[in-house]
Amino acid sequence: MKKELILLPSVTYAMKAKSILDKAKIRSFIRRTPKNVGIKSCGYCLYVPGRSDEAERLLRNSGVRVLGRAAGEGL
Amino acid sequence: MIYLDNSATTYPKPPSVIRAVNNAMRQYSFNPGRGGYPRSVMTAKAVYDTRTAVKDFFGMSAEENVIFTGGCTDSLNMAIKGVLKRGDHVVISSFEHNSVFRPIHKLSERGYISYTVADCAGKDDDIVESFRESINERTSLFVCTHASNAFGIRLPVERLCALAHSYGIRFCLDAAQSAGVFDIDIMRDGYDYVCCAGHKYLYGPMGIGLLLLGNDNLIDTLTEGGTGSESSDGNMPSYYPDRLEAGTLNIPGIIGLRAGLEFVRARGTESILNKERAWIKRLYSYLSDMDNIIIYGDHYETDRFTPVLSFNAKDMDSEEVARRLSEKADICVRSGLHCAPLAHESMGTSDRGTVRISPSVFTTDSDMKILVNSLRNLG
Repeated sequence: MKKELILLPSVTYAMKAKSILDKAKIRSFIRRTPKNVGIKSCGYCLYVPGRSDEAERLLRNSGVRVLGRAAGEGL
Repeated sequence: MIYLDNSATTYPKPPSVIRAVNNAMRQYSFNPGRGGYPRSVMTAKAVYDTRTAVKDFFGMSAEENVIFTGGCTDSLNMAIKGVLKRGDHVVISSFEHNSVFRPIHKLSERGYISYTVADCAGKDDDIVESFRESINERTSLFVCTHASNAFGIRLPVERLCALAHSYGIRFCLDAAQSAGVFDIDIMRDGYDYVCCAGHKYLYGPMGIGLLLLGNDNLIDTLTEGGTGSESSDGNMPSYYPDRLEAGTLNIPGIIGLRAGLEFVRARGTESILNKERAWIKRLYSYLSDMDNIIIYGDHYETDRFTPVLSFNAKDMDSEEVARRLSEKADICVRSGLHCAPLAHESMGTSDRGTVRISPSVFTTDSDMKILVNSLRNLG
């Protein structure tokens, strides 16, 4: 299953990441990070259907702290 | 009522701020950064939009370096106590408010740090020299007000920041009286920490302040608690803003602050400053011609001042002047020491304090005329 969830440390980073992707015309949705993705604590993630690899590169290049990727449908 | 105590808090608040706070109470009373449901995320977006507005307003590089606090006093305590380590030495100006003086004095009383008060009663060159002479091998921080809340004197903070950095010392700016009046650009001017009140010249509600971080160094936390992130870790997060924002945020304050920022931005800080300085210069001119009035300092003849004027009546206590203005003409001014004992010591007014006039964008020509007439007929 494609890893379309980009894991972020906090809601501020999720908002920042979404703002960057919006400017790049990459569709994304803010979600709470599921508990089954290997990260023990609470956090937020972005569900980026179809373009998650490109989105992650863009975010890392923009200085956003990305914790990792996980599979999921963002529900 | 004629309100001339805007250095304490601006009044009235712009209608847009009142509407924003009201709307926040109705539409954004959800906890951001905790839930994943739409209202929580929508509230988090409103908070983020304010961070972005603050970042742009103060020339910052990243939204996450905007920390929302309970007020400027909170911000200063967080910066001072978060940065200083045992054995450090601090230099502060002789115009500091108690929100700087008291936390530093307490740390010193407990033997944790030492500090020096740099004499700032002279010209800019003298002030810079006074700070330079106060530095020792343990000095790690300068804390300096942008402008005296008691006398309006603007300090040469850009030069003091450059001086601090040339010695590897960090610089904390108390912008309580200047944010919204003076142009503050953190990247351009290089400040490490800038502390602001939301309810003064940013025209927001009370109970909201800003700690703006100009570098990525981690400072220690003053308050620990829930952040909605890294919840399984007993330590506070190592990244901003979560590290310094424990507990639920003041959402109406944050949303109201954004409206206040937009109010100031629409008018422009330069335009606001010019208008308010013109009031003060005119008032200075009137009062200078009155035999029974003492005005402190000659900075009103230059551009080294924020829109605050302090004076005394020769034969009357400052509290009595304020009382008579209030009772005779419903004029609100501040009297006494203005929570700035160091400043009054510096200007030789510790024994009687002063009467302080501070206008805002809402002050009118009529307000100033009534004030001057009332001062002419004080007795």
